[in-house]
Formats: sequence, structure tokens, C-alpha cells
Amino acid sequence: MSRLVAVPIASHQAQAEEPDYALVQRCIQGDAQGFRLLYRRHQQRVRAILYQLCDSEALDDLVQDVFLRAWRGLPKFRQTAQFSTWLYRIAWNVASDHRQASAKSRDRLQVLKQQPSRRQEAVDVMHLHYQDMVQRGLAQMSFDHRTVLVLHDLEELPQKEIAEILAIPVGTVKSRLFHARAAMRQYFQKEGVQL
Amino acid sequence: MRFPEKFPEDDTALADFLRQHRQAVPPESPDLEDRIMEMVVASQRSLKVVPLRRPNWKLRLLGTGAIAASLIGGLLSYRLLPPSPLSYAELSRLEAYMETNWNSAIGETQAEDVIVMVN
Repeated sequence: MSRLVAVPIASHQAQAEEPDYALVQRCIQGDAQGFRLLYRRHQQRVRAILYQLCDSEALDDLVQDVFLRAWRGLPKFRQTAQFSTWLYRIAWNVASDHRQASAKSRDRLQVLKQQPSRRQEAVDVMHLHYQDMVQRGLAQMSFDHRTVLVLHDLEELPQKEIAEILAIPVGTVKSRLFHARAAMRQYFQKEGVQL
Repeated sequence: MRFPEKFPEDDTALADFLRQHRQAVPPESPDLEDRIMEMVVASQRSLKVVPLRRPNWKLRLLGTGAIAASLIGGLLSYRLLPPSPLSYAELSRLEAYMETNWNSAIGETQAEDVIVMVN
């Protein structure tokens, strides 16, 4: 179940008109509205990545942190890399910092319990169970494996881009992905799910 | 642990399952975008360089006048107040001093220096 976040049509038109590098140039020249367009273009994915890597309760703060760091870092951004790749790297850094800073880890099941009950009633129980399982499966992984699995299998980023985001060789991405998937499969098997 | 020689590019079944059952991302708070943009604009404002106020033209004129006056004063005092001429005794002392220094500088050459120069 994925929720679509409504984005105004006008912003879609604006997004289609101007490429990232042009907007980045506008930002560097001090045009904050250019940054608003970049935010609208990339916030959903940044949000999804952060959500899969961190707790949900601080999600808005984390998104804010990512975009403020990006804004401050724009003058130093060398446009040899894609803006999105650079932005996802910031998101990954923010997620890493957040994980290190948070003293206690939260159980996903607890989060599910805290969500409004009427929402739970409306969806299939099995689906909820699988959702919980996926989250717990991700939570029991190392942060490195989890990151690669989230970026590749959930966010569908190419391995080359993931390598750039994490500043590691593509071979390492492949290796981590292999082990992450193996760990996930093993976890599912333990939970009685055969894929 | 042994690594496989070639990592499988796709594990479609697992990836599909994960995507199908991923948790929905909670919606952003309605004011998040504006909040971020406010901070962006605020940081932009704080980074802007405030131009220095130009000094008042009266102050500038006063400063220039003071510099000119001190220069003219210095020049006049040099012209109007020449140094007093040296007395005979002072001239003699000066001459004796110069002779002494001249002799010690070029008069006697040390033997070691000569050896060094010959070698």
C-alpha cells in the first residue's frame, strides 16, 4: 500500500520545464524559489528513503535537515554528479547521524499499534502482518545492508548511482545487496514465509 | 563465507514482495515546505553582506584637511627651523671618529685572511 502525496499541477509544469542543474544555478545566485522547485521535485523520494532507514516520528525534522543541509551546501556542490545523487547522499548522512544519535530503537510493531485503529481495520490483516514483517526484517539488518536494499529494491535506484551515493565501488554494492537479500530471505523463512 | 562468482542482478520475487508490503510513508505536515523555505530565506538574509555606510562628506573633508595641514606644518618647520651649525670641537670629534673607523675597516689585514685568499 503506498500513499500518493498530492503535488500541485503548477509545480509539475515547473518541474518539467527546468532541469535540476538550472535550478541549482538559480539557487546559487540566491533565488530561493528555485530551491522550492527542487524541494517539490525530490522531497517524496528523500522522505521515502529516510522513512525506510529511520523512525517515522522524526521524519519531518529529518526531511527538513536534509534540505537545509542541501541549501547550505549548494555553493560547494560540484555539478559533476547529479543533484539527486548528491541529495540522496545527504539523506543517507542525515539518516546515519540520526541512527547514531537516537539512544533507543523503536519496535516497528509498536509504531503500528500506535497508528489509528480505524486504518488498521480497513486494510487486510495479512497485508498488515507482511508490512510489519518487512519493517522488522529491515530493522534487524545492518545499516549498510539495509541502505543498499532500500535504495535498490524499494527505491529502484541503479547500482551505479547507489555506488556514487555511498561512495563505494559497484562491486561492494552488489555484494551488500546479495547479503542483504539473503538475510531478508532467511528472516522471512524463519517467519514462515517462502518466496 | 564464500561469495558467489556472480551476484544475481535481480531477485524479482523478493523485491516485488518488499515493494508490495512496504510501509506507506506518512504524509508530510502541511506547513513543512513553507517552514523549510522560511529557514532558507532567513539563512539567505543572514548571509547577505551589509554594505558599510559611507562616511559623511564633512568628516571626509575634515580628515583630508587635517592631513594636508600636518604635511604643510612639517614642511614649514623644516624650512623655518634649520639645525644649528656644529661647533669646532664637535667637528674635530667627528673627523677623528671617521678616521678611526676607516683605518680599522681597510688598514690591517689578518694573516688568516691572506692564506684563505691565496688558497
